[in-house]
Amino acid sequence: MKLDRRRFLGLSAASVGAVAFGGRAAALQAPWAVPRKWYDGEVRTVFSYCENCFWKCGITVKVEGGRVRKIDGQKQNPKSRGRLCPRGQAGVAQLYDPDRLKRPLIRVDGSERGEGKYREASWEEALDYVAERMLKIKEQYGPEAVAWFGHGSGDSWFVEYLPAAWGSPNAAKPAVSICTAPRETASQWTFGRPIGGHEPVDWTESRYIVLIGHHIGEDTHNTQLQDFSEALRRGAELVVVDPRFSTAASKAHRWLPIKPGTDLALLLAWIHVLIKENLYDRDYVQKYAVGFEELAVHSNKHTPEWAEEITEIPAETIRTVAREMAAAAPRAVLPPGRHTVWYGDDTQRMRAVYILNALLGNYGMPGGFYLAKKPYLEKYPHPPFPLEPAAGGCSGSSGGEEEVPEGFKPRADKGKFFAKTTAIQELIEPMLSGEPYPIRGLVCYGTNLFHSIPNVPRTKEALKKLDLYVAIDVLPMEHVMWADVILPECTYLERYDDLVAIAHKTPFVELRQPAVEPLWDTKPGWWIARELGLRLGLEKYFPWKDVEEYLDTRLQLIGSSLEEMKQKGTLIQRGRPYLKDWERRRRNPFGTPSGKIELYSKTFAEHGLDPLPDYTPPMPVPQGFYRLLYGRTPVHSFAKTQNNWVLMELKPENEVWINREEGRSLGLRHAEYVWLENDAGVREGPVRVRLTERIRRDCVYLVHGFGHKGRGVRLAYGRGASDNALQTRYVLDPISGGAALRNNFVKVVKGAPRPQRKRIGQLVRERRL
Amino acid sequence: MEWIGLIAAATFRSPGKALERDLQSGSLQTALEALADQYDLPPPRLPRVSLSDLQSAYVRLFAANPEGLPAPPYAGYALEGRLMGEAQEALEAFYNEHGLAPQEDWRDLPDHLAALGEAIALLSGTRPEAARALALGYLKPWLERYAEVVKREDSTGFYATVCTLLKNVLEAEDEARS
Repeated sequence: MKLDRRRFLGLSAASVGAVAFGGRAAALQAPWAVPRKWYDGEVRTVFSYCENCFWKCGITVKVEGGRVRKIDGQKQNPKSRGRLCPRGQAGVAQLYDPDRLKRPLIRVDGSERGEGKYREASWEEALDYVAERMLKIKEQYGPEAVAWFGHGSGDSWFVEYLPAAWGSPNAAKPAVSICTAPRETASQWTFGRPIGGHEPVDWTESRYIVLIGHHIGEDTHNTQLQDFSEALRRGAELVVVDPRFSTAASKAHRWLPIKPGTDLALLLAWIHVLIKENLYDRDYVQKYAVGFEELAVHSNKHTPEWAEEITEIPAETIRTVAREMAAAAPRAVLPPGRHTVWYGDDTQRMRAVYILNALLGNYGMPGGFYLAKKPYLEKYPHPPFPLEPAAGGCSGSSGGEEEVPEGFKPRADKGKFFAKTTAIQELIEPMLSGEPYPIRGLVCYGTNLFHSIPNVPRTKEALKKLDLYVAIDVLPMEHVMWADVILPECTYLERYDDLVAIAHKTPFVELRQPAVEPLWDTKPGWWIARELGLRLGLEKYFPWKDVEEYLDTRLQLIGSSLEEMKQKGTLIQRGRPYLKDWERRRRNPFGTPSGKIELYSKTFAEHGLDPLPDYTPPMPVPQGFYRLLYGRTPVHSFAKTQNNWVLMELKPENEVWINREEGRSLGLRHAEYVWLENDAGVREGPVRVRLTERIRRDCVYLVHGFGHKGRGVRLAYGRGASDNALQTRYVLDPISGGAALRNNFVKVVKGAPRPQRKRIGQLVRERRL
Repeated sequence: MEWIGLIAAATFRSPGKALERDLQSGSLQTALEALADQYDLPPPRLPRVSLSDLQSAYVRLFAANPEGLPAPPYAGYALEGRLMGEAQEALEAFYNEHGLAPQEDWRDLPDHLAALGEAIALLSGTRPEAARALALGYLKPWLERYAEVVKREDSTGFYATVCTLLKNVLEAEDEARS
């Protein structure tokens, strides 16, 4: 053999290097069978916070032998109180998911987007590639021609920090216009305060709770569920308004199976009863609210009988619930829910929810809404960005005049709706049409483009038209494998992120810190953002050399330090939860133009919007179709966790809920597989039928997040149906910019084959020999 | 054992200029033929493939594939069906016992086939039994599980050729020694 062994070895010189030889060469007999209990080893505890939903529970990570062994709730953390849901505990399986992206990839020249042909690249090459193309787009079209999408805790680098420094107002999150925008906009213009990521409902002190399309128990927001359970234990009455007998409904004293799309009529009737029967809190309203007279006149027409015709809820039941609410007030509350983009009049519906709460006199009172306060936390003292971040967030949505700095363009969706924050779905169209100006590049951080934004075919067409599409993600989701450049981020257990400031009864700051080193050649988001920023000529906005310096500086400014936070995990401050706490300090919590709760909004009137909420019928359901409703399961988050084998063993697919009688009239059998086809002809599934009395006859229901089409996520692929694929239509809420998704209709198509999908456990077993 | 390790180390790494040079010079072909000859196996013939095609095939087989990753290149994975499990722990302990440790700039797991191959090569001179134990205990199970998959999925034929040869060699080795 003529091969030069030394040189041949040099081919892989960067892999395993000999340090020294020693010891005995023992033959390995079944070398993988090592009976050992990790908890007998040296266990290190790391405080951080979870990423498996947006609740951001504080976690305690147990590390032994360089491996994450277990994740528990952080006792001192107000988001978890030592407890954790299945998703949080299953984070270990996500960390060691073999399907993870492992190193930067660049799409092979000549291949098409979506074809999935890639070559590996170094970080230097990949980042240089991205920067070069971004600068070219900027030169040709301007900085606004690059859009930035983000979802998850690390998104602040990619929808706030970097785009604001770069100069693009087109940064957006699905968490706004596909989720919370209506409730936030309504809250800002009613109370002058945000709802925020941690809904400030004083659950445990409440004695009467009315949930409207609120899926508590199915969305599993850890401490919210703890508090809700405690409220029920203390004897709170529960009313659930939902076309579906949800998990919460199963705990309720009353379930009101409302006709979908008519919630606002019910709310207006309750307002009517409170006013006409003089059941509202007159003193509270006089002291804290404006616009009552206009509201009283406006509500004349909203009688329970009028609402009964619309909602199919008996007028007497409407009256009874209103009277019960009033009897329990101010310890009676209608929580705002989270995903509020339903029918298109959503900001007005949320205004009605808040007006009702105000009439009950519960805002800022025990048992109603507490006044969440943000913790004191300073920004890093970098030079001011040329633009204000526009993506918003749970507390960012408002409206009114908007100043665009000289030399920059307004958002591409400006003028379509009232709120200031961008709407992610409205940034797709400019990619296709070039109107009002072209968007030619997209940086997408952790946003599942094909499972969150309505009208997936349109999104795919838009991606094809871009000059540059960069995906920053952890898993090779279908949309990721369309990108020109894939930048693999390490998981939340392997990285720092920016500090999280939680507005709460007891405001607090949480630290995310790495429990273990990043696997493979993956990098944290902050590092990717900084390296990209330096290449884009934005070095003055990155005066910090690494994230530890960045975090320590922010914490030093409030009298703490990174070292202290590493030890504590959570930094808790004092709050001012009730109105009396504000009054004692002679402070006004209401940031509205009038400085009071605005039952009637003059600002809305000035902008041509209804100053008081009124009912508009939803889009009618076409003959032969059902309204498509969707929701959550406690063991999955969005479309993010369906490749986690632990969670998939618990819930491997979704089902379509169909009323039992209705199903029988269609000739359906329980557990058979069907297709769902929407009124635009899009077919989805196969999906298993669940015939149940727990849903009305005029709608069907799917748990969101299933029906993955990308085979790159091997456990998630091909299980159940995607509600998002069927949501080809949305109605734009003209106030918040929310994309109302419950305007899609499906019919059930029999004859779908039972999918030949293996059980999750079997798939996992088959990986091995 | 040394050639088994060297070939695995060279071919299971992300393809770069070094592999291209080795293909152009014919040295890898020579190594494969010599190894086959040692075990009385028919000489394999490497297909002529451009570096960019090799890189693309490597990513689709071993790194990221929109159709699902066919052959995750981790020895412990083939043994246990998961990463970072007990098989990998045992391998790390074995490396440690024999004075081996992954270099700091190695950005992959210690049971990656390229690392495993190099460990086999390094041990083969001074600790031939240890090298053999690694080859039969870790590399062979992976090949038994995934060589056929690679053969089916590899559009270039390069990885299929290498995997088939290594699998046949290790089976012959196992049979001869038992």
